[in-house]
Amino acid sequence: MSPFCLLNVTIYIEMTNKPRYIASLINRYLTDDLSNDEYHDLLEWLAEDPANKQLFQRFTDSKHYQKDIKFLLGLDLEVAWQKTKSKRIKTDPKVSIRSNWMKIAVAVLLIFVGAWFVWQNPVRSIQSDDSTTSEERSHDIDPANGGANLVRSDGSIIKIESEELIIDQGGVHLASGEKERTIEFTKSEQLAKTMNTLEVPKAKYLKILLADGTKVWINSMSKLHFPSDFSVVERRVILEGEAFFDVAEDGDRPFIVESKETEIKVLGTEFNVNSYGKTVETALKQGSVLVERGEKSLVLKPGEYAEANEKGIKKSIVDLDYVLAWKNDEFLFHNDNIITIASQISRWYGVEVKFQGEVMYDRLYTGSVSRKAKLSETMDMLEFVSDLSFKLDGNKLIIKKEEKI
Amino acid sequence: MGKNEYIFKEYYQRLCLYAYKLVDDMFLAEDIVQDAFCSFLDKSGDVSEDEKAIRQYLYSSVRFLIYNHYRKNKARQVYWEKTRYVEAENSSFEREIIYAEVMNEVLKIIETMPEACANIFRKGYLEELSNKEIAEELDVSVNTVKTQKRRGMKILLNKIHPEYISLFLLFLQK
Repeated sequence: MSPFCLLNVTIYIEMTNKPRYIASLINRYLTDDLSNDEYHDLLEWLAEDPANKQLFQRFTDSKHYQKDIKFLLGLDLEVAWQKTKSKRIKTDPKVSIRSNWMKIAVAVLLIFVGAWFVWQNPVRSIQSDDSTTSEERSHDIDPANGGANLVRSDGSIIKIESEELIIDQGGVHLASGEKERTIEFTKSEQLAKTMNTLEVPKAKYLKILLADGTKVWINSMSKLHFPSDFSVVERRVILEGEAFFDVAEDGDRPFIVESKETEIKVLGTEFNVNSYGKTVETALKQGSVLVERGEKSLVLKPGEYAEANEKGIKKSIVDLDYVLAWKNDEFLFHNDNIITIASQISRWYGVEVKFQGEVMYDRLYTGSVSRKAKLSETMDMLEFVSDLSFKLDGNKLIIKKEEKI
Repeated sequence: MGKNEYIFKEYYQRLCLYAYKLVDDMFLAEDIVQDAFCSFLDKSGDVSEDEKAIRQYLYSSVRFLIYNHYRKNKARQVYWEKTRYVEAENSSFEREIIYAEVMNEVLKIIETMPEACANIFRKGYLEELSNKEIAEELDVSVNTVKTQKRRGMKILLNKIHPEYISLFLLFLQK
C-alpha cells in the first residue's frame, strides 16, 4: 500500500550496523578513548575510501561544523514533537463514510491509515474475509442535532429545537430550525438582569450568539447560565460541561466564565472550557486568558492549557486540533483509551454504554471519525480498528471483547 | 514521557542533521524528519522494538522522503546534482549517518557537563568575562568561579582529544 513497503525491503537489507560502529570509533577517537584494535579498525575504514578521510577531516575544520552545531542547538524538541503530533492528525485523509461494508473498510483504512497503534502489541492483521464484518444493524441512532431546554428565571422550561440561537436584551431568537421565533424577556427580567439557563442534553448541541457579540458553542450534556442582559462592569456566564468561546472584544467589560469554583477572565479571545470531570480544563486558541481558582491564578498564552481543581492550577501545552475537534464536527482520538472514546460517544448519540467481560482498558487508539456519522457507522469503524465488538440493545451500547471465529 | 515521545526526542536532532546535510535547507530538513516520524508512529507496530531496527527505519525513511521530495521537485535537485550521488550509492548516505551519529554523541557529552560548570566555563572562555565579572553576574564568590573553571577544563581535557577541543568549545556557545 505504501511505498515504504518497497523501501523496507530494499534499504533494510543494504543497511548494516557499520555506520553506527564507525561513528562510535570516531567518537572515542575524539574523546581519546580508543583501544589499539579499534584504532586499527578506524585506520582501515579511513583507507577504504578517500571520502571516508574527508568525512573524518570535517571534525578538524571548524568552518564545516560550526553551521551544523548552530543548527543542532536551534532545534526545539518540544515544539517539534507537538508539531509532529498535529501533523499526523492533519495528514489523515478525510473520507466520507458510507454504510456499505467494503466502502467503510476502505474509508477506515484511509482515515486510520495505520494511525491506530498499540505499542506493546503488534498490529493485528487486517483480514479481507467477512468474518469481522458487522451484521446488519437492527436499528440505528442519528448523531446529535441542535437543541436545548431554556430554563427561565421563573423556573419555566421551554424546549428549543434549533441549532443556533441569537440572544439579546429583547430575548432569545431561534435562528434556525423549523420555526423561527423569539422568546421575549419580560421588562422585569430585563431590569433585574435575571439568570437564564440553556440546558443542552445528551445527543444535542447548540451554537449561540450573545448580546455582546460573543459566540458560544455548547457541547452535549452541558449547561450555560447567562443573564438576560450583561452588567456594565463585566460579562459573566456560568458553565457546566464543555463549551468553546469566541469572545467579542470589549476593553471595559471583561468576559468571565465561571465553572466549578474556577473563573476564566478574558477581554477578547477564543478558548475552550471543559468541566465534565472534577477538573476545569481551559485551552486557549487566541489572545490571553486569566484562570483563577481560590487564591491561585495563572495566565495562558495561545496553545496553552490549564487544569484547575482542588489541588490548584497546572499549565501545559495542548494540541488544539485535539481539544477543538468536537467544535469542528469531529471525534478525534489521540492515544485515548476506550473509556474516553465511549464517554464521548455516549454523550453525542445519547446512548448508555456498558462494558462486558474482559475489555483492555489500557489500549490506546488514534484516529478520527466525523460527528455527522450515524452511530452504526461509528461503531463499524471502532470495531474495525479495535478487538472489541459493539452492539446496540435499545438505547444501550454494549462493548465487549470480540469473539474469535 | 511516552515511549514514542522518548524515541522522538532521542532521534530527532541527529536525523535533522542527517537530512540537513543532504538537502542543505534547515526548514525542509525538519519537515522531512517530522514526516518520517509520522510514518514511524503510524507503523510503530510493524517495526521491531529493537533499537537497531528503529534507527534503521528512521534513517531509511528520511532518505526515502528526501529522494521522493527531489523526484517531485525536479527543479530543486540541489543535493543530487551538486554531489552527483547516484541513488544506489549507499556509502555516501552511510557517511552522512556516521557524521550525524558522531555529532549527536558530542552533543550528549556536553550535556552531561554540570550546568553550573558549563555556564561559568562559557562565560569565561567564550564571552571572555573576568572572574570578578562572572562572580557578580551569577552572584557567587570569585573562588567558586575559579573552581568551576578548573573543573570544566579538567572535564574537557580528560575526555577529549586535544585536537578536537575547539569542536566541544563551540557547543558551549548556547
